Amino acid sequence: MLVLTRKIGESIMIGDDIEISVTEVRGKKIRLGIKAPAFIPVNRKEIYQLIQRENLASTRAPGEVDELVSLLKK
Amino acid sequence: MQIASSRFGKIEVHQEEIITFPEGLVGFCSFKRYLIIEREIDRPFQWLQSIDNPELAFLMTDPLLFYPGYKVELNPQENAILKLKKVKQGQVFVLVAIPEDPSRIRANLLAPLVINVLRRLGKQVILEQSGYPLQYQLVK
Repeated sequence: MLVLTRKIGESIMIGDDIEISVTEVRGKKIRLGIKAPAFIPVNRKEIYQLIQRENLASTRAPGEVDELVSLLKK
Repeated sequence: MQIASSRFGKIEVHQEEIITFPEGLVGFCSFKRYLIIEREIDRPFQWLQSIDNPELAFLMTDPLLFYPGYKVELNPQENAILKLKKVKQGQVFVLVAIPEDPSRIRANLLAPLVINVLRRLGKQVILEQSGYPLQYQLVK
């Protein structure tokens, strides 16, 4: 992994379109500003991973869901 | 065009039915073109069948059936993908997961799918500030 040192107000470019800047450092917390084209999703990794796992779970549903439908009507 | 889906067998796909998710779904970014499959036996559920990967289909439903008042708000960046004139014009689905014990069926209210039906565009939106749960139990 590439590791760079930056100061507040400085940034890095990823390709031509993505800029990540350090806006604030407070104790152990760092605030980052991210400029990226709209089609590039930017998310916190923890949330991204949780949703990824949940998405995968919804592809594993049994072939027929009619039994479930009756369960929901109870 | 025809696809041989693993879940539904051969499906005839008409160009005008294809919904493009320009970013794909979270964790599935390489699969961008989908088809909504609605069958009587699955109601109130639908399937989002991938055209690019015939083995991939997501189970989904209308969140308002289970969570009255469910509301999606889009920021301008999200709407840049969807190109909706009004958020209300978007059709909203949530993905449904069925674990081993089917009575624990759950829906992901945190990251719904929003579809611009007119322009056939879709996006999975993450409602980070909403407080909606990732796993909402559908059977109480």
